Amino acid sequence: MKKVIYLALALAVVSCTQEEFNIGNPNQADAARVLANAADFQNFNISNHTNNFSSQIGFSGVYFRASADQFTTTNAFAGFWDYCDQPRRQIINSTANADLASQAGGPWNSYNSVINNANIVINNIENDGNEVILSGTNLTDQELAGAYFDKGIAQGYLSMIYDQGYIVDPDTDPNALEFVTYQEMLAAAIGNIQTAISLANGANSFEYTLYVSGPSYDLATFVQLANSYMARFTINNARTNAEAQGQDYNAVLAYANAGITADFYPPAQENVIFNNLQDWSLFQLDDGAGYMPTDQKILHLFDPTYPTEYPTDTTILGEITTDDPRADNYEYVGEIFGFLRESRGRQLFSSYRTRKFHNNNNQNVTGLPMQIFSVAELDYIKAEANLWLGNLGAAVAALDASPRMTVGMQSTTEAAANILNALLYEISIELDLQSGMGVPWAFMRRHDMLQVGTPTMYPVPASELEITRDDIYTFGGPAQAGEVGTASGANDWRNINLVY
Amino acid sequence: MRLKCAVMHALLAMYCVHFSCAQEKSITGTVSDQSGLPLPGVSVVIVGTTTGTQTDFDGNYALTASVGDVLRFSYLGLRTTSRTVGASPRIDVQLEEDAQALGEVVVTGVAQGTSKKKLAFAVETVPVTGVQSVPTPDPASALVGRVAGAQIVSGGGNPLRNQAVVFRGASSIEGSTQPLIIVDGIITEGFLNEFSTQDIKSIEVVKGAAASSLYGSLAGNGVIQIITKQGTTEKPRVTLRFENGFSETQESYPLARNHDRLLDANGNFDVSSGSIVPDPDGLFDNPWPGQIVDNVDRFVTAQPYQQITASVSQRLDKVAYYTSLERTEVAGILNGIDPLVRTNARLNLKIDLSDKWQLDMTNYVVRRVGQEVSQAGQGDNLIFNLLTSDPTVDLNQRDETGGFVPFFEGNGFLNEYQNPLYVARNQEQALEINRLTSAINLKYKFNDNLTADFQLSTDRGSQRLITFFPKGYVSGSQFNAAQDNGFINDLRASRARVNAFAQLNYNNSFEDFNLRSSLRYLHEDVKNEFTTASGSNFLTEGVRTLQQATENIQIFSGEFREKTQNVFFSADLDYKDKIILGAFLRGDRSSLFGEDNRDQFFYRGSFAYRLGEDLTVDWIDELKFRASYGTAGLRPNFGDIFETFNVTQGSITPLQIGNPDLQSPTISELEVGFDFGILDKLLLTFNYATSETEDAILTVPLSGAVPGAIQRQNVASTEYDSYEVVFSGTPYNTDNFTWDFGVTFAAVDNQITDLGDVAPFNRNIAVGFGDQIIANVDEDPAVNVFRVEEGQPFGALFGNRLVRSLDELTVVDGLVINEGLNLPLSDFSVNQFGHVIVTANDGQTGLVNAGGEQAIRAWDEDTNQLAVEVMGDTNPDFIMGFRNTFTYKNLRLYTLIDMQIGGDVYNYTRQFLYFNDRHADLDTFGAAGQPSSYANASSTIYNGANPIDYFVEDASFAKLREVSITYTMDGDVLGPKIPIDNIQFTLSGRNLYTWTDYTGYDPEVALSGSPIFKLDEFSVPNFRTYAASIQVTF
Repeated sequence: MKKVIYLALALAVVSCTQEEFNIGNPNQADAARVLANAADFQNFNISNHTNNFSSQIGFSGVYFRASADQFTTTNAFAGFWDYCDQPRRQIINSTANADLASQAGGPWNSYNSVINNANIVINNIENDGNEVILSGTNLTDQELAGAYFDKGIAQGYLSMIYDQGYIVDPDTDPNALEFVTYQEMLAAAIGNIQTAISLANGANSFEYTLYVSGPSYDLATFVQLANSYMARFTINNARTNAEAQGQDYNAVLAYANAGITADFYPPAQENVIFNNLQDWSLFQLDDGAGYMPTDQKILHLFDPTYPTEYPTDTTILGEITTDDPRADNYEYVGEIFGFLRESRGRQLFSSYRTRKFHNNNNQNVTGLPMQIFSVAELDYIKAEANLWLGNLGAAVAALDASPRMTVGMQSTTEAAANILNALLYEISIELDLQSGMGVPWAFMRRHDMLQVGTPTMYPVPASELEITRDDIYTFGGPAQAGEVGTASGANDWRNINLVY
Repeated sequence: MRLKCAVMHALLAMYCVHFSCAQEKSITGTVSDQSGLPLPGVSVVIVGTTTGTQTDFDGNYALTASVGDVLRFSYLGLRTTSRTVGASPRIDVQLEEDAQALGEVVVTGVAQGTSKKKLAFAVETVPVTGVQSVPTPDPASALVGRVAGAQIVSGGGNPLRNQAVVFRGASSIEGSTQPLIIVDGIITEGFLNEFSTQDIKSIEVVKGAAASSLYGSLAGNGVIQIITKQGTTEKPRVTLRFENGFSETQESYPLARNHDRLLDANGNFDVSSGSIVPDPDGLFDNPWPGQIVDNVDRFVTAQPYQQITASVSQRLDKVAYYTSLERTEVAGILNGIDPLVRTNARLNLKIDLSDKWQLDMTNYVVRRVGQEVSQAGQGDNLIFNLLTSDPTVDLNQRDETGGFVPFFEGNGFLNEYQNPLYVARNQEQALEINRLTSAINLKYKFNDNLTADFQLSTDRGSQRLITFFPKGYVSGSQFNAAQDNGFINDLRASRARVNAFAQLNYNNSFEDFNLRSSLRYLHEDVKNEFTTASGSNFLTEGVRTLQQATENIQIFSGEFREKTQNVFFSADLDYKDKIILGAFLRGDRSSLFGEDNRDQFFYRGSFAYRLGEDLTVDWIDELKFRASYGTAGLRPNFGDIFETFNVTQGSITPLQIGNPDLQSPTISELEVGFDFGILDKLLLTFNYATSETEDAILTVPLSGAVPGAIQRQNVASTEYDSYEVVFSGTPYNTDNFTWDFGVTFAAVDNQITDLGDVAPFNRNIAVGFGDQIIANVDEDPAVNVFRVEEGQPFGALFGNRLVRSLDELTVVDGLVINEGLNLPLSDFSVNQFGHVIVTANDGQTGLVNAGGEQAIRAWDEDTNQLAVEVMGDTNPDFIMGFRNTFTYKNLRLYTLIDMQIGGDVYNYTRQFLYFNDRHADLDTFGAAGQPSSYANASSTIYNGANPIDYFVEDASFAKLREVSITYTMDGDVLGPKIPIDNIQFTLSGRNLYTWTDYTGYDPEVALSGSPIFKLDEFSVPNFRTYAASIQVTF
């Protein structure tokens, strides 16, 4: 019997131990480890800078290129075809849409993630009173400025892309979130970017590092970049021509004039940051066709005699005629249609592929320049702002100072319609794949140039609306033409008399 | 009266004369089991007398009987068999297993071996003799059609793949539905197909929490226990088995034989405009130029099957052993794919150390190697490329180097595609799995009432998957260009589970009451780890090291650890074996539970009344009513409880919010049923089980406005009701002929009842088995078709729907708003396919918004977009199995038919082949004069590759699953100089024929590792196998 008692006691003792069951997680860090010291804290902040810029040149930009007729396809992969199809289709804002996470869900998640990370940094410094001191140098304001910058940029993109969104600050109650309009989101974005500028100016030393062990930018470049983004977001905020008329273009001009003076093309770092939007857009198939062929719009802008839609009979279109050397960025492939499918509408075909920035089908290469923000974009912003302000001479001067003249040798007549046509040309051709996501699309929507039925903004993705239990809605489709979120086609690019 | 007495005396005298004249003689023989192993201790009795004997250690017996006497042979767990004494002095008998034998002892779900008579819940014992006679190396096959309520589906036609198992209904929403697998009492990791079917003595199954409580948080999905063989004969018994055969596909795929491109006068493609152009009529009615090649036949071909098994067993006075060696080679049906080769060895050893101590040891080692084949997705997917290839291009043609042509460019009509024969020959996805399962069991007998059990067991495994593209490999241009100059990905993973338990048993009888009780402490320690490294762009050819890669170099690693301790107490009390009461309580403390919820408790109460014991009816063998209520659980995965940041080379982002309260869901099940056995021949078992899962774990998506994308929470509830019937028996059992049968039936209702605050969502069905590291080569499914929503069955299919009548159109302010058309209702009609169209568009090509005839889809007025609705449910209405064994003298015929009636499957393969102009349906549309754009354009039927009800198909089927015919030649035939007990010759087949209306290869698909998620996306088809075997026992 004693044996039994001993055994029972042993069982009881062994069963009472607790500590061995507290097994840590060796695979992933928690907040305490991520923010354990100043160096790690800074790395976390830098990684958010990386996320911020990766998002701008990420895969989700493909859909804006499609909506702006920058490329064409009948390939249903990832829903590309949905966004290229004619007549335009409605956005499938449903979690049954397997591609939603790349479409409306893509920028939503990536930019909100940037905001959340920035709020962690801001909260740590402002509310918890922590300081970032490395090697004896107090970098607190530098890190705080970087966080406000990231947050402002992310909010700027949300304001540009979605009809509404959340403004979240470190002390926001996550259970009491309210949607704000895209105009309110823009105001928040501008406010945060300006806060970033102010903090950077007040910092005892400053640099903004794009990725760990990557390039750093000094105060002057940072401030120029901040102003450039404020110009981009402000001018791209309007959804229609009518709305665009109410913008403050003096403010836009002021931002642009304080913007970058050299292209912001930081080098890629393999598997850390690279231009994934270009990677997908420039892929060439073995037969020579482009995976995402050049849309007729580009070719029509080069050569207004070229048809706006591919013939639906058996015709194979020939080459365009243009004296713009930038046409070399587009290669004629004739009848090599690659993935284009006859049964899906020959009007979607193209005999060209885009080879601008093409790098042997791989953009994920260390050192390859990432075209994120070009000086040319500011030239066009200045030209357009002057156009809106009625300063046609200044607008033409800006265009003449831009690659339109310096590279393309294309002159512009001092007439409002011609200047606008020239801007459509430049933004569609010069800025294609060198302005991140959405710039040509946003330009065309504020001039009602998108095809009728094209979405002019994303709805909040259904995946978010399901979480918040809000009603699901969507935009796009010919039946909703001219309604909020859907292009009226009033100045459809296909109907424009292209005189420059 | 006197006359009557005289007559009686006369009759008695005649009887006595007759009796005295009956020829008494000595009868001898051997009694063996179905595999030919002699059985010691078999009771042999002359019916109607008390005369009898028992077989010795070699299964031999001898007694004196008269011609006409009937000898009855009985043995626990085997079916009682009778033979009439005839002219021959020798009667050899083979006793067959009796799966439902009432006196059988089971060891699953109970703390100690317990007679089935005393069970108050259902434990099914699965007969394995049948499955051991057909060509399948996977023990999961033994459950198909034999276990009521078990759905078992192969995860694809590659023989490496596991079979997905679910008992009754799913008890969780996320995670695996796989039951706990126990082998000879060892709690294991890994999969059933790593064990040999030939080693198995029996399989026991408990399906729900009412029976599986004993295993607590491990067993919410039920339990499968494999019990392996042990030595039974005094002299060494050797068995050699050779099985050879081949596998082939069951079905051909319905591919288009026409197209809709313009032909010239010579029947070639009209390329006068520079390229292939569409035929203006848009009809799929033009024959392909040239010879159509059956490329499917080039690639899906008959391949060999082979299994060689050798075993030796013996039982001496104090030692018994069983050892076996086996090699299995299954090539499947894909030409050029390396076969699955499994090599396994077992040693079971039992030693009676003393009167008090007994030692059991079991050791099993297995190695599985083979070539993985990706399913789902496109790229270099073999089946995708095979079905979408140009039907006039012979994939078998060779290039100038003698190799297969790697890649065919598109022709402006068909997409470019890879040659699956080239991929199969040149792309390596080599999988190697090694596993060692061992245990030492010690039993100590304090006295007749008190015993103790100790076990130390381990289940260790390693896995390696090398994906290797040699330098110079030519990939599909659009996806894998980075691999053209060489690519290697090396995954190495290992796992180790160590279990240790000590158990005290106290059993006693108090007059008419019998008590059995146990107290157990079990400690589990599980450690898994993995490392992967990959890179591309090799410097040299023929080198397979990682360091030769110069680009895209990536390294990942991780480790997972679990420690759990469990204590349980079990007590069963019965009164005169008639009234049975059971009580059970278990506490689990696991590192996988949140720190604020580290202890969880599970329990069971059960009751049974054996009414048959109180009935004085001879023909009733058993009539038992039983009820059991129990709880079980499922452990969270490692990592679920932690706050985590996703840290990669360039990004640090909050990923998951920690949850210190996370716990196992509580799965409560009430099972009631009865067992009704009559005439020593038939047994009917009925079970009704109702189960409810509370606190099911969900990965809760969080708003984009908060840091962290997800949190694992106990928020959901599910339930199921299951009705099961098992009817089995031996209606005929005569000297020369025996008919044994089994019928199983199950109908299950499975529903999600609560999602807490979580909105309904579409479930990702990517493969996942908890913390087990799986070398998954499949792409994620292309369609989000499975919906998790309150009030819906788990397995509901959601998507868009074609409108079939005008009443289903959405009319607002007098206009139909479907597809954004805004046309009056009078503009619509129903066409010859039963679809609603715009009448004026009849016969026109193109999209409906551009004036084409296309089927209109249902519209959601609230969201003003395509309606997303329930369009199907993968759960069958019921499943059945029919098993029959007919034995005539030495000839035995075994058949198994199983069926599923009702339930749906989503045929994405068909949907995608519409897009690729390759499905035979397009010929049908063409023959009906309907342009192909009706079916394959963006909207309506093809639906832009999004889920739509058109591609939901009935998954009902009936399968001739297993057939074998065996002839047993007694060793006597060979004479005394050849010491062979018997030789068995068997012809057999598996998956021989499928009756179904499903249009794809096979409605049995389980891409996700669960039979519930039936999605066909270029799955490798299941195959049939024919084999012949010879088994020699001496």
